[in-house]
Amino acid sequence: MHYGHSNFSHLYIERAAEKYPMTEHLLSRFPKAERICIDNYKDVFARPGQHFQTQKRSIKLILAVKKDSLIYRGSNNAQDFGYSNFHYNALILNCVYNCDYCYLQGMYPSANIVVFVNTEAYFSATGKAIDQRADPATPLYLAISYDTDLLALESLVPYCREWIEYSRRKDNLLIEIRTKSANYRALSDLPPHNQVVLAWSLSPESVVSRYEINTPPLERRLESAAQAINDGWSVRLCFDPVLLIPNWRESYRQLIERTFEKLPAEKVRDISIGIFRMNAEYLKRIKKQRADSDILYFPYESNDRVVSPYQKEKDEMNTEISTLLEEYVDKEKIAVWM
Amino acid sequence: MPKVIITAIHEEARPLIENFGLKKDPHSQRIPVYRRGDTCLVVSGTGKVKSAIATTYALANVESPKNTLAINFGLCGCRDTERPLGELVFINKITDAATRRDFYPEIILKHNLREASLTTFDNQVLKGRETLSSDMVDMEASGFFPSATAFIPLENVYCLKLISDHLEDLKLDNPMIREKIEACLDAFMVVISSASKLKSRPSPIAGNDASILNQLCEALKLTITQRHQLQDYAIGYIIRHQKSLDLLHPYCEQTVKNKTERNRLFKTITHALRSQ
Repeated sequence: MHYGHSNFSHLYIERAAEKYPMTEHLLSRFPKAERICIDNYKDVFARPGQHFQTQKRSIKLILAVKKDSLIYRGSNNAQDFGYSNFHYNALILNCVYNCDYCYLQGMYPSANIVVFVNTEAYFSATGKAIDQRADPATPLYLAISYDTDLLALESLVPYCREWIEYSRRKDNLLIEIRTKSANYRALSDLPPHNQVVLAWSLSPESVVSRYEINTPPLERRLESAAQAINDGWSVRLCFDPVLLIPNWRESYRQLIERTFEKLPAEKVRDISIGIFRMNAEYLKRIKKQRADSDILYFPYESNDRVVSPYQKEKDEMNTEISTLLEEYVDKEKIAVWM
Repeated sequence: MPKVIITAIHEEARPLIENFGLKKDPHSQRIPVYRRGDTCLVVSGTGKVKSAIATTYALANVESPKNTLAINFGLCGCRDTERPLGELVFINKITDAATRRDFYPEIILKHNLREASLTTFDNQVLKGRETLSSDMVDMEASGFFPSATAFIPLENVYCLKLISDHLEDLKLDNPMIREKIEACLDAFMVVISSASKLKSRPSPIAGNDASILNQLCEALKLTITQRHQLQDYAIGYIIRHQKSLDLLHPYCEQTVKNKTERNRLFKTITHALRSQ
């Protein structure tokens, strides 16, 4: 079974992006695709009247040059794992997967995928951010697969590889590549590097099959993570988002048991737990477009414009899952998003 | 699915009128409209302003905008002499020559036509007189497209053009236009038929459930905010339980005398929808 990108039928190419090697690479990968010349990626990506889930039925690829905001300060809704210099970037907008609970549906006007091809400009902005980081005692912690899943697209757009190689040339940089993919083989020929964290998002198989559309099954993700650990990579496990499904206790207990049947707990770098949360405005926008997923319509509470299960439920879920995890790993290795 | 076809001139429209068996709508005097069943064809006249007016006229009051198709069909010039006259093309980019504004049709539909970009000019374009960056030229599409997408979903708006010339000062006579359109009718119908089968944007609440919610909103004189909240909870209830909203029936019979009573009852109803 194939998980991830399909054969893109249309490539929208910014004039400014035409001469970049990545553009040429992608054009060669899709010789039969329609090529449509555009002035600015936003002319296509931010058109009024688009419907995210309709576009998911036939995703288009947009190739563009990112002119500003090449690096962002970390969001309050994401975990920084204690690194004060937490930043992220947007090398690609959108994701080949289609998780029901994904905030991208509310954040972006389009489901089409934008690949920014000017990698050197990103490297240069990152170099600057390293030099100017607020806390020189700790490295710049950079999440590069933040509003996308880079590893899922690695066979097509080899950005993980490029950034891993970049991190070898740069001190004081720690990059996180978060994924739901089972595509570790795309990186398996690279020697491991301690400035890179490969992070797998894990969910119970019942959640994967029902809510994480097009993603690989749990078993495949675990196999990928196991292989990465075996090869010497630093691997993070993310139980995020934890969903308030009716039988959540049993489902997450089974998930954790299965995870550590497949992975050596002592070799896992760290673990994060994040109960489902979403910007309230994003959820509102998503609900305007779709009424086909119960996860979007569970009774949630809204605090500071962030929607999540009620505090009592969150506390219960965090405690239960932390306790289960502590059977396998030290408490200090577990980061809980409160 | 209802279809609205916009053509510029009668010669373009006639083969379609005959193919669909359309009859002239006697109520529409200034803008000729032809109808039969859920198919409607409007003859806009030449030029983007006329096309925008006709499109707006046809679509402003359609019953179910989310489930309506709008198609701009007509002749176009082509700068590439390799492309044969009479070829039906699927337009994937429309540029307005006067404003340089670009429009991008949504292409979800899988089709067998060749695609092309098109520029809409205010006047006839002849070879060598204009610098062209697009493959095709016409005089209507940039009026039609933004007007149509103002009323119906982006993915339901199509622009299909038939290559009638290679930008030479040759005027096709009416029998030639007819012949070329008739030759591409099958291809046109395949696109329309496939487009009609594309699932449109789903309505969150339909049929009897929509009627129950409406009754409840009226009976309790709910505020706009409460109506939105009620719909939200109702959708959640339907999805979670895979049941209709029959549990709300008893509340439709109730009357409220003041805001306090209304708010109390509203709280009871939303609690029932959330907790069950």
